[in-house]
Amino acid sequence: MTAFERTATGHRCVLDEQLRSALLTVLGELRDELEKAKTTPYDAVPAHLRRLFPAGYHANAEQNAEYRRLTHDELADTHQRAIIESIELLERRTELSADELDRFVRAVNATRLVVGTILDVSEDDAEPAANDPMVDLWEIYDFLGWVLYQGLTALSGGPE
Amino acid sequence: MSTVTDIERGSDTTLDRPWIVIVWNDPINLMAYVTWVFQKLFGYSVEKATALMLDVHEKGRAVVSNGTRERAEVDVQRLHEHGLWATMQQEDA
Repeated sequence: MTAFERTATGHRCVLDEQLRSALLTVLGELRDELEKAKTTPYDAVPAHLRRLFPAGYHANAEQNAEYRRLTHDELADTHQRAIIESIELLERRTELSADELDRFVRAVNATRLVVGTILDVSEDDAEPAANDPMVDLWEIYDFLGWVLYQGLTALSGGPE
Repeated sequence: MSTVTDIERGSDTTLDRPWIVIVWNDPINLMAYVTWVFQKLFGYSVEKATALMLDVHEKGRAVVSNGTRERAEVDVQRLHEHGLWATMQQEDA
């Protein structure tokens, strides 16, 4: 099973309707959350979104506050634009140029970062138990990882 | 440490020290993704990008670029746009 096929001019997304719909749902949720985050000071941004707005300086709170003041809006906008473009691509067509696939990969990665933060993913995580209340979210996380890997493989010219 | 001569000349060795950009390990980003970002943003070969990614993964951090403060700020912001956990600091004297 693959997510992308190479074409003469770029790539084609070959996700079936069910997977495409699932991806659209999670991308759409993050798009909407980022819309609010754009106008929200970092300290008031929901904890699961803060992973998208890291500190710029090591161990310097004052410089970090200034860094975030200067970059927060732009960073939120950059993440959101990649997501909006990816949603439009998935809704309207299947052909992607290399640049479009690049932004699609970034959008999927940003979404996976947020989902992984909600799940509090660690290096030691094993498979979630069947009765884990977050099992559905773990499935989404794994799915996003698979799509991301497929996108990276396509961008690197690997097997499709 | 500044010497008497430095001080007399008004030189500030702190200002002269280059800035470094560090990428820190996190448990979410895929190793393949981190390698791809290093290649894309810095033009590193797959071998160098992979070595840096492994440093991040195994040692917890890797210096991925260095230069002026302005250059470091640009690199950090671009890494953040790609979802990597990156910070900048002045290189140790």
